[in-house]
Amino acid sequence: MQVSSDENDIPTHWYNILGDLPFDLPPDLPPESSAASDEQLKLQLPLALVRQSTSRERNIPIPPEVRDRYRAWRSTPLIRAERLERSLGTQAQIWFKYEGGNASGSHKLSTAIAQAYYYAAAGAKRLVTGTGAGQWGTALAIGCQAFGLECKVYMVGTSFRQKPYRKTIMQVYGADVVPSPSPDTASGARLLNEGRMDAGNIAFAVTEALEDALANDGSQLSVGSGESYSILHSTVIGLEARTQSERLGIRPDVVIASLGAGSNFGGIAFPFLQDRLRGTSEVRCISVEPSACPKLTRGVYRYDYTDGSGITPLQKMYTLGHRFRTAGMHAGGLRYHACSKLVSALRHHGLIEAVAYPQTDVFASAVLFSRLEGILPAPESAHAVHAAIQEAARARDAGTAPVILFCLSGHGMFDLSAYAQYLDGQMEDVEVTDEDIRASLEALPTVLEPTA
Amino acid sequence: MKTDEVRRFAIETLLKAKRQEAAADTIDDATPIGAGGLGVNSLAFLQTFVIIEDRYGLTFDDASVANTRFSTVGEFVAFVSEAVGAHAARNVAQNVGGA
Repeated sequence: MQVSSDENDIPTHWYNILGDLPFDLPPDLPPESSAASDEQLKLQLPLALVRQSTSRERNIPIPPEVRDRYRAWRSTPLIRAERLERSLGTQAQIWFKYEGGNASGSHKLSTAIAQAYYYAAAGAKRLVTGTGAGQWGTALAIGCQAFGLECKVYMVGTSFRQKPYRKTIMQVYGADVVPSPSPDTASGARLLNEGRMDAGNIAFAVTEALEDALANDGSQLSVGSGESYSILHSTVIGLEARTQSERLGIRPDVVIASLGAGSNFGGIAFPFLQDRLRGTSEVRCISVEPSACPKLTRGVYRYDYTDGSGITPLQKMYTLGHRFRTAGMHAGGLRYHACSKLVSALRHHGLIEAVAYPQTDVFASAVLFSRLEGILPAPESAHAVHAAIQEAARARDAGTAPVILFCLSGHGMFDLSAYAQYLDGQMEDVEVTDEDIRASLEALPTVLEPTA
Repeated sequence: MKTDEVRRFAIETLLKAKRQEAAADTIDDATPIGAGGLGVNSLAFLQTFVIIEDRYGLTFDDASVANTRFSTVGEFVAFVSEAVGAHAARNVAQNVGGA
């Protein structure tokens, strides 16, 4: 069963959960170094996005220009995984919201379109960004193309070489894509001169993007997931799912999504969590992370830097420490050392749950799902697939029949090397020891926390 | 709207954006907002505009903020004071026009 796409399901407003929270988020703190220079006061964010990050308005209007662009692929289908249900022998209903049916192949386009719109409206001519596996870079390239902006993408060099078609699709949408480290910035050239072409990571790619944006008039830095405004824009996913569920006469008991920084999870979960915050629902919202990067399940709720550079503002969030390094794990979008301050606060206050799974189990579920339902999940999305299967199996064993909804946040057609490794029996799980986490947490900044 | 009140609120908002508490009387118009002064970063600086919008019921324009040089506390206070004053004047004109 599938709820077909209907553009009338596209909401007119995004849902801002800050309007319903019974607590304030801990304030951001400036970095310890306070190394801000004159140049760093070049403003990198449209005021509209700053307002959205702090507003307590429950419903934020979606600009008509953005909603018009959403019509190219929204609303997205809500699909019942009936074959999977039968395979598991469960009485539970399993539904998924499929976000892979657009040119970027993932949920990230919903905020990329919105961000490009606001940057263009604020006078930007060119957006610069860093991307890891390339999903965010692709989404932003499409957004820039939609609103007449130039786009420059610094892509982590190892991904640039391993995933050439990601580069190509960004180029199709007009982006200038370079591997990071690159000769285009002083910091990148320095690494290349030292022969460290493989030293790049997402934090360094963003560092190069910022250096580029600061050096070029009309250019601004855009970052992807985890910011409160990117979660806000992503709520279009959960709002559509809620409308579609109501039309079907179903009410999800469990909402599941993978967790990188927070936009995917918050995007589908927050509109349902609204009902719980108002006392009209007992819905359980479950975030799923890799056991190789277990920030919500094994991290600490502390102030930390938002990337590995150690110069960003400090946010209070669940973190494994900004020096934490995740190796040998295929879900690149879930490698972030921490979790957005918004999702972290919900976890801290007991409003959401968190689970973690090893990647071999996750890929086993992804292959099962793909064979039964005909969609190949991205490795990130496969974490939600696996968690949904676990919930459905528990329901079977308990003799209950909950309605389970998960977000299939993207397709895995650019991740076939990971599937090949799994099918060849070459994939291994990454063990993170308590000592690994303790050592990483030692690098947390010492902060005098603000009093309430 | 008293200029002194706008000035005091603008400076207090800037001070809240920095890590260490500092008394308002330890800074003057020449104090740098960024390096060598308050050490306020660009994101925290942007948030000060939104706080001021909420306080005085006005909306800053991205272009006017982006095209103004904000190196010192004095430049920031002058910009905010002018914007708040212009907003108050518009409100008075509208009220008179509607009376």
